[in-house]
Amino acid sequence: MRRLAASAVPVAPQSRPITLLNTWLSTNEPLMSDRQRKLAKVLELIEPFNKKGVAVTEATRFAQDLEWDSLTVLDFVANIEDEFDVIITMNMQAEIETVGQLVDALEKLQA
Amino acid sequence: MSDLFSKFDPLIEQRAALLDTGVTDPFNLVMERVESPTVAICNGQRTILLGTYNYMGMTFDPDVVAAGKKALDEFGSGTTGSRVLNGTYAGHRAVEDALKDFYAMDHAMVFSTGYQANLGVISTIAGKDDYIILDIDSHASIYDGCALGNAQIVPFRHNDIDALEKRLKRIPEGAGKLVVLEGVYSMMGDIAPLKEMVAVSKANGAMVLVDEAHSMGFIGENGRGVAEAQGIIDDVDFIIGTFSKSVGTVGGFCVSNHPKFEILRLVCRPYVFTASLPPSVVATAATSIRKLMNSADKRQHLWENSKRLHAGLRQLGFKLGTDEPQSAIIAVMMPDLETGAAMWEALLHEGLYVNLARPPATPAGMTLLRCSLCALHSSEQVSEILGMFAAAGRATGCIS
Repeated sequence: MRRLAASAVPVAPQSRPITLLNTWLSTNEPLMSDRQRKLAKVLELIEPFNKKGVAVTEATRFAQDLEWDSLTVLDFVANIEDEFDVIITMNMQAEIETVGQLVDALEKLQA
Repeated sequence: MSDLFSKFDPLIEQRAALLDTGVTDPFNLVMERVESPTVAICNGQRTILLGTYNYMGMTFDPDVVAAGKKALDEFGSGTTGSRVLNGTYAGHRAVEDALKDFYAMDHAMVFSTGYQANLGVISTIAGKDDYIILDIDSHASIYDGCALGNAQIVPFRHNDIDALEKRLKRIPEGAGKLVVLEGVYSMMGDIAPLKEMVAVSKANGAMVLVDEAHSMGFIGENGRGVAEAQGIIDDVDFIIGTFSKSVGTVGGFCVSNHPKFEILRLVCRPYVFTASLPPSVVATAATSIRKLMNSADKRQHLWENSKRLHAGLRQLGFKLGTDEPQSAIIAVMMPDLETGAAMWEALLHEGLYVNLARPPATPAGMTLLRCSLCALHSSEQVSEILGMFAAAGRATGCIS
């Protein structure tokens, strides 16, 4: 059970809550640029742990494609948390399977 | 055939591959007779026990055994009931009183196992919007306690004080916080920097729970654990412990000074919805706990055993889990599961039982031969153990 998050059953991608969409629609910020900035940062933080040299996209899965174990996940998540000044609980990690889903979660956490 | 068991296929295959090499199954050993806390007969052979967690050797203590027999005669073989219905006998109260005296704390609650104590307390006190901040190397019972409850779970790197502090500071204002730590981490035998971690937790408004399963009876002036040894036991909100290690029987407990602690007896499901411990078990536990209060000599001898085994194994060329002996557990690191299993079997043939530990129970995918010493291991036995490690290590190529 050490791998609580890593062993979580993959879940269907979450649909974005309407409230979040409203937040986006009500801001003047260009929607994509902020998300793309986050994605670029996430990709940068993945690289030190990308031992297999996988070509990472939004669809890349942490467990299956990058083959990360629980300790790697812990270190990577710590770096993400420090960079974005957020907490990504194990409960949230269990719902995050792909790089794109992580960026979505960061959008939500910083909304 | 594909069914619900298909998910176990990789493990079934790994196990079959290991056993096909002809090695004795390390997870299926039978002890035919047990002569003492340190010696059993396995496969007809006299075997020194070095993997039992029987740290203080109380299992054959004459007073402990006599108390169990008396309770069996007077109260019968079992309670057949929950602690909150027909399952609380005089003995259950007596063992809780013994714990309150042992820890000098106001409240004690006894569960049927140590696993259930963690399961029950953690899942009950941390609710849906609360946060549990825990060491990534926490025991399975702690993770299962988290899984049984609905709290938000935040892990931090093993024994990393800064990582703990950073996470505590990021938790939303006003949320309930429970920090879960262990005194001794049982895989590597290392201890936690509780003094610093408890201070950081308190400074950030968190309650602190410390699992002292592997330190009770041994570490600290009165055997109260690492929190006592580091001088901060009064700042710990909950201590979790077990009867299945130093106490020498089975059962679990939580002790606390929290004024509302007793309400847990009504709301903690792993306490309510299971049968209580048999009268003989609580009688042996109470007797053992009271004897452990005055066991300074045994504690001293156990430290000597631990230091000697650690130094001796190191001298032989084995790689150990800690640079210095920090507890009664000494972890010998193996390069892989196959070598670990071969070494385990070679030791058994020499007449020595240790625990083979492997992923996912171990950190970072390691294979370990885990040795736990007993206060009743004689100095001669420790010498014998080192001789067996030398022979088995050379036979398997682990050392030169």
